[in-house]
Amino acid sequence: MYLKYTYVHKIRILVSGLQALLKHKDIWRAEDIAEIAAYQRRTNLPTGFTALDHLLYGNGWPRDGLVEILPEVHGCGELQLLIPGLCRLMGEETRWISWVNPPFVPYAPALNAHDIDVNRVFLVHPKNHREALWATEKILESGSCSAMLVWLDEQQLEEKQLRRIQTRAKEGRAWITIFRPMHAQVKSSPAELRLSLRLAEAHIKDQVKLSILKRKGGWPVPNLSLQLHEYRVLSANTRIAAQWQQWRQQHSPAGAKH
Amino acid sequence: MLWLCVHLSLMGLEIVQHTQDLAKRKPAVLVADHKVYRMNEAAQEAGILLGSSVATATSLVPELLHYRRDCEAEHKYLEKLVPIAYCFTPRVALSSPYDLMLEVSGSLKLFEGLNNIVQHLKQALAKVGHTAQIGIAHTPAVARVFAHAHSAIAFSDYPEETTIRSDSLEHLHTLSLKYSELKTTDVECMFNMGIRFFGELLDLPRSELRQRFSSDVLRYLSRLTGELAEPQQYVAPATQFTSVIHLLEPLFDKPSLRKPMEQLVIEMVHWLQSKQLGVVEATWQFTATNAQTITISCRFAYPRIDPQAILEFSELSLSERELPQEVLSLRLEATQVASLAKAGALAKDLLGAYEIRPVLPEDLLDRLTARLGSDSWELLCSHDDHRPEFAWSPVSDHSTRLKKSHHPSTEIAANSRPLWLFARPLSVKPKDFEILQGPVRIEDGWWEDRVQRDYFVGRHESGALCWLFNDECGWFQHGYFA
Repeated sequence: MYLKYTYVHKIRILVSGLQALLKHKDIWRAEDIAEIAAYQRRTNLPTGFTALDHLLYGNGWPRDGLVEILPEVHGCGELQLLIPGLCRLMGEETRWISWVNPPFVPYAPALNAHDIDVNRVFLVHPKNHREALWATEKILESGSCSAMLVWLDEQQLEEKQLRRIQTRAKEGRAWITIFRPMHAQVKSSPAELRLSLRLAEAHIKDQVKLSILKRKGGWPVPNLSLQLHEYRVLSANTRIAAQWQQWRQQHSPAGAKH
Repeated sequence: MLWLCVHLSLMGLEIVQHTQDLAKRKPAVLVADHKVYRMNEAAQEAGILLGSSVATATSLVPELLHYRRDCEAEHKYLEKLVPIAYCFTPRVALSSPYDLMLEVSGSLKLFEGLNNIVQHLKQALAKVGHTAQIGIAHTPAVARVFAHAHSAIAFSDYPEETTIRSDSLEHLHTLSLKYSELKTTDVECMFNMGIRFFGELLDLPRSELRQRFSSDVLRYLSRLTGELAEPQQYVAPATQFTSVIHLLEPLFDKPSLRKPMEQLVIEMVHWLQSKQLGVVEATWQFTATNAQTITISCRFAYPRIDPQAILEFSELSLSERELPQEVLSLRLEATQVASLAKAGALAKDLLGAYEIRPVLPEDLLDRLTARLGSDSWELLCSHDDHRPEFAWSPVSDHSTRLKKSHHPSTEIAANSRPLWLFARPLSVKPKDFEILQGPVRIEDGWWEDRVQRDYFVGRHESGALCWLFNDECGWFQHGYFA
């Protein structure tokens, strides 16, 4: 009788422990996905690329959470991928967009041309990794930014720091994108969405290959083709350019030095 | 006329308590001429009497804290309280040693009644650590008597001039002459004659009094009744704010600096409020025992008047700096102020709610400035210029940006300019690139920085889309189409 009681008691403890664990906000269950997704379908942020939208949890970028983008090189369309989403977010909200530690200058006329309000953009230039983390956390805490684009020092970046950023992003209701180099894909990350961007093979150059390394409510998806730029190699154009180049080199005195 | 006398009887001791927490809990007395001049509640409970010698008091309470009265410092301190009173009326006068006189008949409507004024005034003074006794009457002299006697009459919110006068005089009749401002010898003489109350003195015929007392007594009586005006010298808040706290004992760490800093900030906020200004730059100075001084300035993105934020950003700036070993005095100066109207939002009312809710994240920018320095962030600003490097500029001042910024009139196609621009063009070899589009000639600025370039869109060997140009110095990369 006594034995039976302890057994039942133990089970009860186990079950209550499990219940508590399941209530933890970092844990999601496959069965919850449908209802949460149904709720978030209204609220998530469309990426502007229909093919990508269909693959993402809640049909778009998370409005509060951490996204990682791993571009192969600079200039493979890593910003272009975010522009439609940022644009939409700026239209919906009055909050700002911050760029922490950008590698180059975000060019204001180009942002303007993409309908991004540069008056609500600010850049943070931290002097070291510690300052960058501090600034990121404070910006998220303040709740005054709806989106953040962050470049961190990969060598000093630790998983627990990302976890902290992810939690703060939920609290501050901000969509934060961290750009990491390609080799970071082997490291584990608490981000709810991880994408890698690769340039396509030589013959389809105006497309990028986007791979989903990690997403909520689904398996990774490799090699999704996206057209981010509209620069086609026009044969006539190339010829003109080549001629121009030649002419320039022949006629300019400085060009002769090359 | 409606006069308020704010009597801060314990001010001398309260000044000490600002910097010495101990003086609040332990019995403490203020000493003038080796006699107990003022004391706190704990000392009163211990049975110490006013006017007794320090030796007697110490024999009653061995751990008694005693501080010497500093009349000059007290007077200076009273002047610091003027901005608080000035928020209620422009007619503020000082009356030594511990009295502020306010004429409030013109402010009744603004504050919705006399009782509101009294209540707000008491609250504002309590915030800076003072308990005030307030006397209200038709003349300054009577108001002072009421405040000193700690006996106030209840007036209606909008009292009539005649009611104030009759009620005040009626109440004055019942008060003892020891609260009067007559010479002690005169008062003693009156007591001996059996004249103990104001009423008894006022009822006596003046001509008979003149024969027995000096003309000062008669003049005082006429001032009480209002027959003789008592001219006041009104004071206004200083045109600039600087305030210093000299600590009695040096402080060693930053957390314990918080309290005196808070006191200075609150003082500054009262001054700002009375001037309808907000602070844009505040400068702190911390001086050590060896006269080493550290100066810290805090800049704010918009004129601020909320004490919490000013204190928080000051502390953030402080957290990044080394302090001298022993801080002995603190100084706060409002180095740059601006009208509150410029902030785009006005305080809700003159009291209480002086918080301005910013729509924009200036709070955040101030926090970043305080901790990481003013060069740690920048805002973008685009200009009408064909030269790519002049078509944008970083701005680190929010207000100037608002003025400058505009949407460029020249529309450019979304994909003709790169999202990443290099701060300085990078010299490249043209053979590494495949030209996709171009050339586009940009030629401008012959009067300053001449630019004469042909721009191309090119693909680097790695596959990255680049913005290239060719000028007389060769080929350069100017950005990435990211």
